[in-house]
Amino acid sequence: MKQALFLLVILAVSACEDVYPEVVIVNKTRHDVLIKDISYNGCIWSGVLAYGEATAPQKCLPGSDRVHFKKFTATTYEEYDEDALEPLTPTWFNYMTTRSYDASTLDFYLIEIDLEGLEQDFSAPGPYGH
Amino acid sequence: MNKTAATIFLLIILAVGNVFSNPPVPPKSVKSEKATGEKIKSLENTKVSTSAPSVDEHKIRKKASKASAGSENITVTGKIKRSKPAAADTLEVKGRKLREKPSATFVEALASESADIHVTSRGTGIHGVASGSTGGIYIRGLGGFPNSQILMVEDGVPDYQGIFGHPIPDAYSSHLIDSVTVIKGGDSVLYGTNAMGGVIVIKSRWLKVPGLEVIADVQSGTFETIGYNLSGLLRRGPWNFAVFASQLETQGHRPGSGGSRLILGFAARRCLGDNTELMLRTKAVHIDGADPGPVTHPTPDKWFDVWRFSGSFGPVFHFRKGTIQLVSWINTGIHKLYDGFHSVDTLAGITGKIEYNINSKLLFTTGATGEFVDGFVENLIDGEKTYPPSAFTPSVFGQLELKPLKKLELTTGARFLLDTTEGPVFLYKAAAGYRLNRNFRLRGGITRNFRQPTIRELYLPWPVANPDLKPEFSLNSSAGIHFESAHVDSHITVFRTTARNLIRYFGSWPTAEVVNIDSYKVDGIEGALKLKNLGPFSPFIMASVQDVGRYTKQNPDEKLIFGVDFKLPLKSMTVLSTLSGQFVRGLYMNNYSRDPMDDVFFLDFTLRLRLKERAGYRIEPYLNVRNITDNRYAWVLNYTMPGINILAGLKMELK
Amino acid sequence: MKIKSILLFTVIMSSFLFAGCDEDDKSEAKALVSIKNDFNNPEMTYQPPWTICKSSYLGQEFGKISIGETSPEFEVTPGLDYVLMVAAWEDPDCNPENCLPIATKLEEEVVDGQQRVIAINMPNHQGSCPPEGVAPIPEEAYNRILALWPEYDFEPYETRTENIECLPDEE
Repeated sequence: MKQALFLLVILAVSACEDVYPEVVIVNKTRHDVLIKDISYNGCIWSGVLAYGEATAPQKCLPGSDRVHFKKFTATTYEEYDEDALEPLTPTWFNYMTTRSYDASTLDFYLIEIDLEGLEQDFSAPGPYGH
Repeated sequence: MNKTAATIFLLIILAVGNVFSNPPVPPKSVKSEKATGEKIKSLENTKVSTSAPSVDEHKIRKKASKASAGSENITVTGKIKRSKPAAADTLEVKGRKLREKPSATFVEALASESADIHVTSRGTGIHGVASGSTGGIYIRGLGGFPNSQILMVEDGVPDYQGIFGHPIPDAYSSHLIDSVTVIKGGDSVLYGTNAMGGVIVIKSRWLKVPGLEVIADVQSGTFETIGYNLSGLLRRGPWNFAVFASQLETQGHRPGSGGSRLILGFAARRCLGDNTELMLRTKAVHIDGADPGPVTHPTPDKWFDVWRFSGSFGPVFHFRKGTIQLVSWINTGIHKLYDGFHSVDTLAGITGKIEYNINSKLLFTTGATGEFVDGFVENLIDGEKTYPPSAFTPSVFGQLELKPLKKLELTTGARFLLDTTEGPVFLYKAAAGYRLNRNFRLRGGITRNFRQPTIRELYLPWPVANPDLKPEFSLNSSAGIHFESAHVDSHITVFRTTARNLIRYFGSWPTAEVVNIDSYKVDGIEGALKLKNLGPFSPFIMASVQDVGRYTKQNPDEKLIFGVDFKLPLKSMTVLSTLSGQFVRGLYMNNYSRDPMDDVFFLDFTLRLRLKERAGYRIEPYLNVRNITDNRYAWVLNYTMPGINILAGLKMELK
Repeated sequence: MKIKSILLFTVIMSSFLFAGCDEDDKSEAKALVSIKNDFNNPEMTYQPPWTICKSSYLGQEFGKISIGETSPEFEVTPGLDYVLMVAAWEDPDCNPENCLPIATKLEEEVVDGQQRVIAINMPNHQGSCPPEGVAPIPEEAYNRILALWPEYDFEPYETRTENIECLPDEE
């Protein structure tokens, strides 16, 4: 009886999420390209990644997914247009990697985002509904 | 419509003719109670079921305990067990069975009890509200997000959100429930609006004999899930009390999928004299969480915060041939969302109902209801408030249950109501059951149900509203054969669900429109086979196949539930275990078979060690392992369910 | 008595099934649809000057629809489909060099017995060469437009941004 109870407690406290794959994303696009709001398999990283920077590791769901993010290219941004006196708001566009990455339990993954492997992402959910 | 009316007419003529050709005799239930020469004041067991009552014979099974009411001592002489009405198309589940299931929520547990009930989910315990919420209940193809075609009735009171017209799936906990009856095909005659596809009738727990019972259930598991459930029942003298608290907190299997749920309740019942009871029930629910978003684009910051309060009060008078019941209720909620949305809604009503046993073969139920819906919405960011018009719906209803022949039972009923947009509405139902012999039973029935447009559909422009909308109507029919024996419990039912005047949104902002236009038809077959009393193992299998036409959105074609219950009494404990699974095919994210989804398959396991009672208390440790094969599956596209996860708990029962 | 019971039950059950057919779908379903060129809708922040030169929905051609106008009403078989169009930019005369394949953003639905006006406007259209951040017309819809109106000689989907109207204006 005591053994059974002990087993139950052990099973309960053993956190299944601890075996989820650990993922880090690196911005390897170009010096003038910033990326933010990176997401992959249920994980989301807030903050902006400059070229060469990496996210903090996160435990994500196992499975296959592309990396989704918002991209801003500094060299194509014009702070003022001809008529406006106020600075223009930078536009971040939705992008994703062209290929999916598999992640399995108990593994570590470092995913590098490069310019050749990008395409626009039109799969983002629509407006919030009530 | 003419054919339907002709059917009802034919049925009534045939039935009434047979009833009145037999001389009336006193009801057997009354005879049984009188047999002891003492009055029966414990009225719970003699009360006629409101969902699908029967005039079938009652059987005195065993002597129960002594009870007291007021200053007198009374004796309950028998436990009256009413056999299931032959005409009923219902699923009845004990609260204990739901509590002992590994399912994460009450509605998911219910969906594992019948293959023609489908419920969506997104994680481990919180369904949520608004975008990204799950807990959509489909019964024989009707219902689903946002559930306004399925009605929840809690202790005789309809329960839905006043503005959006649907129940909140997180507002229920199996720990508080005595039994649940699912009326498949709906029943707007007895329950009014929203009972289109089905009615889920929840009965909460009371202590049936004098004494005290305290049950504490503590659970902990994967994803930092912690649950506390405490219920206390006290019956002393003329008083009967029930208090309960249920809390669940979880971090969820990914950001945004966690949340918390708190349910607090208090109920009291007092006997006044020999034949009268007064009942009061109150409940408060708090839910908070977020829409985690698709796994590809998580949105854990889209939070919600919901408070709901409900209460009901009323007397019940029992007399020799029946009961008179009066219930008034109020149900109000405060919903807040991350985007500034704030709503306050109220649902209130009063019902008076009389159940009268004309004779042993004829039970008449009649009543009147008035229901009021109101609310307002506010944008907390810009402070703009909208006060849509409220609505009041009066109605009268009646139902006859008759037994014209020894083996034949018939039920027929009608409701007239005054809808604010449609005007007079007529709803009806008819059902028949025939017992071929001790084991076989045939049954069939038809119901005409409806759903009133919600305040949101009528007046709130998200993305558009139409104040001229009229109610939706359904006409549901089914026929089945049931076999019950000491070792086998099985049935097969064919069903047809049709609906017209469906409220549909077309187009997009700013040229969207919402109109009553569409019709809908689902044909299906559902069955179950359960073996029992054959030793420690009791296998079961349930299946449903349906053709939903173009209405494929989260409305699966096929569902299979299977498993085996294990029960082994030992010297110091009883070992209870269940291995069960589901296989669901034909899932689509949208209508017209668009965005097909992978088939769903998962296995769950539960183990309970029910220790023998010692010195008035009993301990029961348990373990639930969900998705033991660690499958990646989803009910909603890209809302991936958790892999293998575990919940261990300890139930302590003090009597 | 038993025969009487069974007969009674059989009659009732047959009546249920008979009555259950009451609200069946009708065999010859139809809907009435017209299409509105709503590109001048003032509720939008921008009014793109598209004249609809050709239009088709659920296999029914609706013809040319100038800005602000609504096509005649046509009968269609109910269903779900994109409204497929050829539209001319700033050209009410629909000269081919100003034309591009466009479609509604959503697959539009009509059901049996419905009378509906489908509005084509800024948020409810998608084209061949949208700016960055806006989804282009799906390949399947684009190819259907090419098949419906081959006389416009549009580029294949892969080179859709090389249609003349997509190219930058010469100064």
